[in-house]
Order: sequence, then structure tokens, then C-alpha cells
Amino acid sequence: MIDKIFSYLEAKYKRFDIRFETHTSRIIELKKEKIEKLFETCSAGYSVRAVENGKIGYVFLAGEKPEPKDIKFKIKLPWAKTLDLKPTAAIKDKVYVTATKPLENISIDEKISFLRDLDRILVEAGIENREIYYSENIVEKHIRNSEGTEILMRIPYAYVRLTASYKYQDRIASIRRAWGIIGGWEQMDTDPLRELYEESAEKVKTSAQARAVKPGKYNVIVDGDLNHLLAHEALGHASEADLLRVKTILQGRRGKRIASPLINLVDHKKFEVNGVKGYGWIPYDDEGVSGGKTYIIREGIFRNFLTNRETAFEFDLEFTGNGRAQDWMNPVIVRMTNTLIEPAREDLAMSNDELIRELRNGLLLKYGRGGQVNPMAGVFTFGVQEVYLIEDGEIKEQMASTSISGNILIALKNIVAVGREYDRPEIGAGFCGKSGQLAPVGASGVWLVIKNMHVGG
Amino acid sequence: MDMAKRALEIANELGADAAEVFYGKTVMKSLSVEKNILKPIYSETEGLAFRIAKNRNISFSYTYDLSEESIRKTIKTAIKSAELKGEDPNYVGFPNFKSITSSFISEDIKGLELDDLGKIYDELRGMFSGEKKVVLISGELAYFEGSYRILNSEGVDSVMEGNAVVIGVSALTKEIPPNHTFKYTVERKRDIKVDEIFEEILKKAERIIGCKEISYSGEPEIVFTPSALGMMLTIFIGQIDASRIKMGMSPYTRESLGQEIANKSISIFDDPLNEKSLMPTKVDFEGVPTKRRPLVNSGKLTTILNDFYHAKLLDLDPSANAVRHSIWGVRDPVTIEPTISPWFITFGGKEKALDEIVEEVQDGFLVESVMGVHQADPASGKFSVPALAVRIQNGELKNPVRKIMLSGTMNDILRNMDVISKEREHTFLGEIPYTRTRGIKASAEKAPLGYRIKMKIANILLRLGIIKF
Repeated sequence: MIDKIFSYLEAKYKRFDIRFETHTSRIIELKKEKIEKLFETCSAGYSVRAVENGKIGYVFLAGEKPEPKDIKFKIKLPWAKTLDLKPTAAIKDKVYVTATKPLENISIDEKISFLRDLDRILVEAGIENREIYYSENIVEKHIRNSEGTEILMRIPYAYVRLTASYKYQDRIASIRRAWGIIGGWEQMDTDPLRELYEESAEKVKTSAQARAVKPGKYNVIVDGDLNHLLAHEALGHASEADLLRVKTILQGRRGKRIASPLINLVDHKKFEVNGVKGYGWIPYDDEGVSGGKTYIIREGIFRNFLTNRETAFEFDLEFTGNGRAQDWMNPVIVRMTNTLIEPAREDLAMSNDELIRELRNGLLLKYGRGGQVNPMAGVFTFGVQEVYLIEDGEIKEQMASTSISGNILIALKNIVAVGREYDRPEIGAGFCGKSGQLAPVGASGVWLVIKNMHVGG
Repeated sequence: MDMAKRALEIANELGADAAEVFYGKTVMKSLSVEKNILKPIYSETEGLAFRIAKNRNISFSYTYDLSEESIRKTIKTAIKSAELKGEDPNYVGFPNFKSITSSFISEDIKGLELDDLGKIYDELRGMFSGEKKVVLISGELAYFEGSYRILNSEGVDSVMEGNAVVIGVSALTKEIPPNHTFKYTVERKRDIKVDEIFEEILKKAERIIGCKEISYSGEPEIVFTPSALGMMLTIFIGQIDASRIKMGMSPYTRESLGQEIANKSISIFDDPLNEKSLMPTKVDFEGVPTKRRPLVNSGKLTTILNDFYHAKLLDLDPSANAVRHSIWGVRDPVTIEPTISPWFITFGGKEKALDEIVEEVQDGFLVESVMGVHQADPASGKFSVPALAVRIQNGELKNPVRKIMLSGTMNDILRNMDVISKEREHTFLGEIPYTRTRGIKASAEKAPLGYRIKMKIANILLRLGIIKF
């Protein structure tokens, strides 16, 4: 069928591309002991994009055998800018992510049994209110374009999320933990995941009984998860080139120092730690562009915007391979993949123990709870799930969950020490929302010492 | 025989104990504009979704392939999943309310084309062209047409259909860094009052231009704008969702019904039939008849939002809030299981004009927008969010403040909400007034001096035309 649509487009348009996708998904949701949801679905359809009269139009068609359709937009608006897609080299490739235990070979029974094991850990720890959500999505993509690119990809995703709350007297604390992998069941059914559940169960109980942090400015250490959140939410979004159409705090700052010279901030399409892929791992983006590690910031200097083919043409920028769509029912927009802060100089990077000693007095902040940023003003806010008081270079008591906020251009300059130990990529797995679309992203980075962070309300 | 009825028969043939078939066809024509970049989009989806009961449990699946072979395969998958779930001791099956036809098709906008959407944006853009302080930056304009049908083995055969034009436009204040303002509206007529959209954006933008840095710490009076309150209310909506109450992830329980949870002068309604909503409907996505109902009546909690299952489980009056999320939105309703959600929120209670409300405030803030509400603790309703706000002193609106931290609980907001405005604004959540409340801690501090100087210089250069916006 893709050939039929290709021929139809070839006869009418000079520049176009087609994406045929199938998403085979399984969802299991365990609420307390009960299986609340269990279903399997398969969604298939085409996304067609073509350039006509300097405009880029999209058509989305459901199913495997739809009839081709034109986009009817004839009105001429004199202010509308002429657009095109930056031409790409023709690439022909197949990338199928393989696994020792492919997700589709593991029975639903086994998956349920695994989730029940995780649930048992929480029960034994006395966590009454709990929810475990498992999703897997085997994504197959066939991308073709007018330049001759033809790419086939098969990427299996699996993700499990814990949400739990614990009541102590009249106080309730809640906790969220994610574990996301690209690959097979062998990366899901693991001891480290069980250990994460054991630890989380204890932490939420302590958090419910803990003292609140007095709002104010603190010197803090953020863990790998918050490193990723800071990199992704606070600066990554501002570096997406489609924001140049509107406004971003990074406009006109290429080549200028915007952060501590100790850091690089990267978007790494093929990020892996010890063979474990970041949840945003992609061999090619949804436009068939190959990407690697893009330095958004290198040694504190702002270097690159992230692009797709549209923005690369519009602003005469390099390809970075960041054109992504949620599925066939959505247009490709500029999206991040695995975004994190890494040490600019390995010789200055420290172990986590050294960072704690370096901080001496302050707070250790672990595990984010989502965030939001205004990329035009640089204002950001993140929830923080675990907070520890550090005194005299030692971790002391656990405090209640809190939030951090600030201005990104100030916070990035306030990074005074960088770690070298990467937290597990699985725990930084998540989904980024933009323009109503979700995209899998990761990953966890190293710990960072940041001074004068606004903590709490 | 039509395919939805045939699908119900197939479910029966394959051994389902009971079944629900959802047919959905959605056509969307949308125009996305970012500054001077136009993107026309057309999408068309038609599919069937199934909820199949087997051995006293229910599972879900869907297909876009409407052949009998694919329908059979999809139903078999759902039956297998239902069996695997095991018996649900609280199994209730499907509703058996009478069939309803709910049609909110406007003939006036039927067949609206992308060119028509382009003309609307062009007109709006023309109005902004002479503006010195505000710039129109982007827009999403869309025409949606949806036709949906719910059939189940209890005899329900209900139809929901509708169409709408949805307009969302954003503008920025011309300053460094700029502030953002937004207008959202749903229309069912071609004659769209573009000048009213323009005036409303302009009025909002003028309030937030020229932010000043302040140091502040206290417990001021807070006046929420409709868009800011709409964001905060998402916490409350989650707290009165029966599925979360069942899990203990809410400060409320079934016993909270009838208890005072908000100020006596406030009532909050869910109004599925409101024609200003994206999808007005007489029936929910399970076939349960809808009606306007108070969620909070004179301060007392009167409704826990529920679907058919949770209504039975918690022994509640069915509220008909089974919604296939993202109706006509980015995700096709066919691909989504019904979940609990309000349709269209409205307010009632003690009203005053916004000017009067502000005049009564000695030390306070008019909160224009908040960030990060989704980080709030769902169980306790505790929040700590940065906000863009306008300072109110001695009954007058003063300068805007770019970042003020607000912290408190949803409970604080509701219990201290003593007055709402006569003015209303259409938001994603519903038609929301300005509201005044207390009991929220606020703090702000000045940015470092170096940063402030840089911003000051940048704005001088902008005014002199040396740098362009």
C-alpha cells in the first residue's frame, strides 16, 4: 500500500514523505491487588506530508489500506512564509531492536505474575494505596521520502510506573517511580527493579512523617533524574528550533556563555549506560534523519538548536535528527530524545560521595515529579519526591517532598560541581508532552551541585 | 445490517457474556500557525472499539479495519484479556438506560474548509498589525465533525454527533522576556466575532506587560483569573473522581458527600449540555443520560464524578462522566477506553464585578497564570507553584510580577473562596469566573542584580529599535 501512496504523491508533488506506522500495545494496570485494566490494541495508519506552493500540508489516514487524499488549502495569505523541507541524503536501512526475551514472546500471564510480585513488595511494606501501570508498545515504522530514503524500524518499548500514597496521622505522602526500557523482558524482570520498589515503599512512609523543608534558597545536589528534568524541561525545550518562530530565551545566544563551564548539556539519540538504552533512544527520527549526540551547551557555551527538516530549512540550521511524532495521527515536530547534563571535563567530575562532601551543608534532592517551564522567560518549576538534609558533608534525615523553581539561565550558571556516576537510565524514562503529543524520552544523568536553588513555596 | 450491530452479534457468537460496541468517525481540518508559518492538516478516522465481558470482567480493544475478519480477531483478543483478568467481585456489566440520540450538529459550520479557518486567522492578524505592545504569535484553528454510536447487549443504542470550530490563539507582550497570553473559544457559527477575541487578548496582555521585580512574603488575598483557576481546579477534579477515591488517593471519601468542603457562597457545576462546550451531549460514552449537576452546592460536596462501574461500586447516583478523553482531539476517541472526567465546569454563587472585587483587596495578587499544577500532591491537594501575577494594593491593580511562589492546599482555596466575578471566560475546563480566596502563602524575591541590569538594557535597546522583538 505504501507504494500506491508513494506513486500517487510522486505524480503530484516534488517534495513529500510518508510514514506508515503500526503500534501494538499491551496495557496492564494493577490497582491494589486487582487487575483494573488489561488490553491489547493495534493501531495502524499513514502520515503523509507534502510541500505545495510553499506550504507544508499533512494528511493522516487510518488503517492499512486507505485511499490517498489531497490537502485542500488554496487561500493565499501574503504574510505566509514560503516553506520547504531541507533536502536529505537518501538513506536505506533497517533497524530492528532485538532482545534475548522479546516482549511479544512473554505471555500475559507471566507479565501479570511479575506485576503481582512487585505489588507484593508494597503490601509487605504496609502500603495500602498503590497502583502499578505497565505498558508495552512495539512500534514499527516504514518511512519513505521523495529524496529516496527508505527506512524500516522496529522498536519495542516497555514501561512500568508505580504510584503509591501513605497516610500518617492526617498527613499523606505520595510517590511515583518509573522504569522504562527499550528491548526485551530481560531488562524488565530484574532485581534492581524489585529493589527500587522495596526502597520506594520505605521512602514514602518516611516522607509522610518527615518535617517540611522551610522555603528558601539552598545549595543542593540534584540526582540523575532531576538532572534530566532540568536539562529537558528547563533548557531543552528552549533549544527546540520551532520556538525560534515564536520566542525563546536562547534567541541570539549561540556562541555565548549561558552556563557553568563545567557542563555540557546534550541531546543524545543513542544514549546508553552499560548497554541499557535511554528511553528516548532512536536510530533515526521520524523523518529518516540519523542523529547522534547534539551538544546544546558545550563547556557552558550555547552551541546548537535542535531541528527537524522544516526548521532546518527555515532557519538554515544543521540537521540534528529531532523530528518526532507521537504516531501516524500526528505531525512531526521538534522533540528531544535523551537530554541530560554531563561533565564537560572528566578530570573535574566527582564521585557522588565527593559531591556530598563538596556541598557540606544543604539538601540532596532525588526523583522529580514532573515539571513545567516557560521557555520565553526561562522560569521553571519541578516537583521533588525525596529530600535529604546534608550537614557537615553527611546525609542526615529525610525531609518531606517539595518543589524547586527558578530561572534557568541563573540556575545553569550556579552549577558548581558535576558528578561522574550515571544513575540508571531506566528510572529517567518518561513521556514528554508538547503540542498535545507524547514522545518517549529519557534519561538519567550524573549528580550536580547547584547553589542558591529556590526550594519550596 | 450495519457493522456496529453485526459486531455485537459477533461478540455474542464468540462467547462474550456481554459486550459494548463503540463506533467512531472523526474528521478534522485544522490550521496551525506559528508566526508566519502555516500548516494545514486533514485527518479522517473511522473505527470500532469494544468492551467485552467474560467471566465477570471486562476488557477493551479496537480496530480501524472494519472487515468481519478483523472485528472477530479484535473481539477475540478482548475476550481473552477479560478472562485473564479473572473475576471481578464488583462486576456490574453494562448500563441499560434507554437509547438516546444526542445531536449538536450546526448546519451553519458544516463543511467549513481550511480556507475559511485561514480567513479567520488573517482577519485577527490584521487587527494586531498596528499594536505596539502586543504581538499575535500563534494559533490553532480547527473544524471537527464527529459521529459516534454506543451499542451494548443490554439494549443501549445511543448516538452522539456534533461539530465545532475550536480557536486557540496566543499573543506575547513586546518586551524581554515577554509574557504570554492565550484565548480559547469554541464556536458553532461561521460569523465568529474576531474583534471580541482581539479585544480580550489585548485586555489580558495589557495587564501583564512591564513586570517588576519585588521581594514579598506573606499570606495575601488572591484573585485567580479564570485561566489560572481552571488550572488549579484540575487538582480538585482529580480529588472528586470516584476511581481515585476508591484508591484512597483523595482527601475525600463517599462520606464526604453532603459535607461542607468549600465556602457557602460558592457552587460548582458540571454541565454536559452546555453548548459552549467542545462536545455538548445528552448521553455519556457508556450510554448513561447526562444532565447538569452541582458538584459543590453552596459549599457542600454533592457529586462524586463517576462512571457506571464506580457508581455501583460506591453506591452513587450515576453522574454520567464516562468520557473518551481527548474527544476530537489529538487522540481518536476510538482508541481510548472511557474514563472519568467532567464535561464542562461552570460556577454559581455570590457575584460581584471584577473591579469591585479588586477594589476590596488591600494586599493581594491577581494571579494570571500558574505553572506545574500537575506536580501537586494528588492525595493531599498540596501545591507549590510559580505564578505570573499582578500586584493589588489598596484596591488597585499595580505592576505585574513575573514569578511569585504560591503554596497551600486545594482545600484552602475552596474554603476561602468568598466571591466570584460576574465576568466569565471560556477555558478548556469550562466557563470560569474570577474568584477571590485567602489562606495561600506567597513569596517573591528579586532576581540577581546582574540579571536585572541585563534585562533593563535589553528592553531599552528594544524600545530604541536597536534590537528587534
